[in-house]
Amino acid sequence: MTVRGWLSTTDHKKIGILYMVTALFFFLVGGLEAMAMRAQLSLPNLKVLAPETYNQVFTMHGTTMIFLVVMPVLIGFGVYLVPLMIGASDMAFPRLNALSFWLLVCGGLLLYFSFLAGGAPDAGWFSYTPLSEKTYSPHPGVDYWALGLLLLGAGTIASAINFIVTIATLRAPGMTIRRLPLFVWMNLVNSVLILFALPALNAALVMLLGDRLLQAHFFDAAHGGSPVLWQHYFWIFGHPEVYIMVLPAFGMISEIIPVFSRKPIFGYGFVAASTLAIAFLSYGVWVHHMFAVALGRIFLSVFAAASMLIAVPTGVKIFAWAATMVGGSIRFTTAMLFAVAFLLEFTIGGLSGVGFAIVPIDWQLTDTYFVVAHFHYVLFGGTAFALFAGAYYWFPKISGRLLNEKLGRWNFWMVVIGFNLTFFVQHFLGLLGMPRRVYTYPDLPWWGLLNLISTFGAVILGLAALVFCVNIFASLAFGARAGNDPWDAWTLEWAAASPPPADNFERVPPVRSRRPLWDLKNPQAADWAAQGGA
Amino acid sequence: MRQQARLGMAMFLLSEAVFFLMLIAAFVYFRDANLSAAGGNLNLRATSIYTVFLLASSFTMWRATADRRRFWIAATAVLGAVFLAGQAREYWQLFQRNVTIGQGQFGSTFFTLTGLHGLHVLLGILLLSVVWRWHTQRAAIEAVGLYWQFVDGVWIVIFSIVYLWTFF
Repeated sequence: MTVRGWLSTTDHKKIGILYMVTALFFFLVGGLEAMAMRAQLSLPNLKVLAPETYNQVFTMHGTTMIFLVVMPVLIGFGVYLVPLMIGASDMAFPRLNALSFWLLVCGGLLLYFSFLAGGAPDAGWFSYTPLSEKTYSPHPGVDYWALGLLLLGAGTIASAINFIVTIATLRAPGMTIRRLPLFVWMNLVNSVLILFALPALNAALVMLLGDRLLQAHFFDAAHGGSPVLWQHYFWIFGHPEVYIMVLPAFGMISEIIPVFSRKPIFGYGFVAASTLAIAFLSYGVWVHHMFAVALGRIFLSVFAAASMLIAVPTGVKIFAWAATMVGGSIRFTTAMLFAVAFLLEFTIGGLSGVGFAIVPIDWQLTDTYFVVAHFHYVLFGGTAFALFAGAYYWFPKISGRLLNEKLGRWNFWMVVIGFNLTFFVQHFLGLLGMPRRVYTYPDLPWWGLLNLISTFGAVILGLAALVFCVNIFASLAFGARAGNDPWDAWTLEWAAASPPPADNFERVPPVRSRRPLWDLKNPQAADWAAQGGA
Repeated sequence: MRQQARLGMAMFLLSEAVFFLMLIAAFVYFRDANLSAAGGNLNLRATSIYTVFLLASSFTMWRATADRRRFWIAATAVLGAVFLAGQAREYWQLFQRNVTIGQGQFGSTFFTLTGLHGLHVLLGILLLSVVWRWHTQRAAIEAVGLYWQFVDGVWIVIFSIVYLWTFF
């Protein structure tokens, strides 16, 4: 395909690939920023980065990983797979789909242009006021941050609308809502979350830009504004955002574990319904990001309770995935290895998260490295592990070739070792009192050693990312041909050719159960016959 | 096709509703501190008059979606433009008295909220012009109609909270 073809495409598969490639590019950029931080922190009292630069680097690392890596890659997988999984030929609004992607590109360019325009944003990824106000952050970095995020937010909302309309109107005959693949279910719920969460950020960004560019006074206490208002608005977006970054990953795990356990998912209804519960509760927990703000005891109690409650539907999912594996004949492909590791790593992050719901623990640990360890276990141990699993699982469909399993093993073990070395020790650093977002630290007992271990782990993690990239390029050129259905899977995308032709299916197989391809391949043991057509 | 356009627009408006909810919440958050500034600067009578024009446009928009005649589309756009002119006049008078977005909390919340609503009306007029000139497809008019009724509805809420609640 020509360059012009890629630039002007409205095919959901091409756009999905563009999303994934863009996200991979920014993953390497954000990874380099992380490496720069770990280099600076490897030993006490180092001067690898100036303090001002360090502030810019951690701000850009967080913003990049969240808005230019995790969200785009999840949307990319969704855009590629949802139409295939429901037996459609494209998204409902193909041109809007392209617009969403190009808004992502423009937002990313705007964000990174700040480096040339007088300095990158330096107020952290949540840009707390008054630090992000003109008085304390006078160069235009935060303006670029806010404008870039507005574009990204608009594109994301457009994607969410597109997913909802696609899933509502373009399902193949027989694909009822209770037969939807769980990945599609998660994308549907996720899109609703996006519709309600992103506009809150957009409103806050407009107000912040008003403060910075038009001398409005929403958030500056000196003129009667309220910095706490920014915190409320940001986290009303920010906590649902956490689930926006993990629900599609849950969806991937819900597809991969059953196929490699040779069993249907345990408790389909519970997995789907617990997703709705998570979505609903995610709007009632934002204050747990603000426990250190003096808000009053009742306030704290209510939000502490809600934050503990939301662990329940998440726990339901963990049990459903584990129960799916029990008694199955498990095939440990690289995709399955990542999926199983996801369960363990994500659970560690989930448990430290429940710890934070306990207000005194939060007071002790807030703004320390324990928080950094916690959310990396959720976002890397959770989402990124699921994404690696998803990449190994769906790459054959997307490219027509299998990723190399041997390199895959190297990739997997280097990620597991590198990730845990980097972040597990940060729990201890947090408990020892090391604060986040400070560019260096004194030579206190254990601090130097633990930081050095963390940096060593980050190097292994960086090399693992390179192994992954090498695997992609090598497999694109020399990988074994995948065929339509290399994993003997059950959802509709595996009925299309690999890679699928422009309009996806010659003929969509009949959908009479949750596993249409199982029924096709095993007519004597079809699900719909066993379940009396359910 | 019609169903997709309607559902897509409805989902977009849902996100817009959250956007305006947050802006309105900010206005209410600072309301007590700004009450005297609001009472001293807002012109209830003039605003009520141009509000009537916007409400009337809801009727013409409804007619436009029902029979898709160009007259009703144009009438809706004109009524919207009268509303915007009224808003511009109000802004101008406030500027004369040195009430701006940078002038105290009242200016910040008032101009941000009503200004962003005004931008939505402006976008609505542009959409109406597009429909008037190029499209008489049912799906397009219905989608624009949904948008227009939503923007009118938001104004009713804003008018009630910013103006009526200040004076009554």
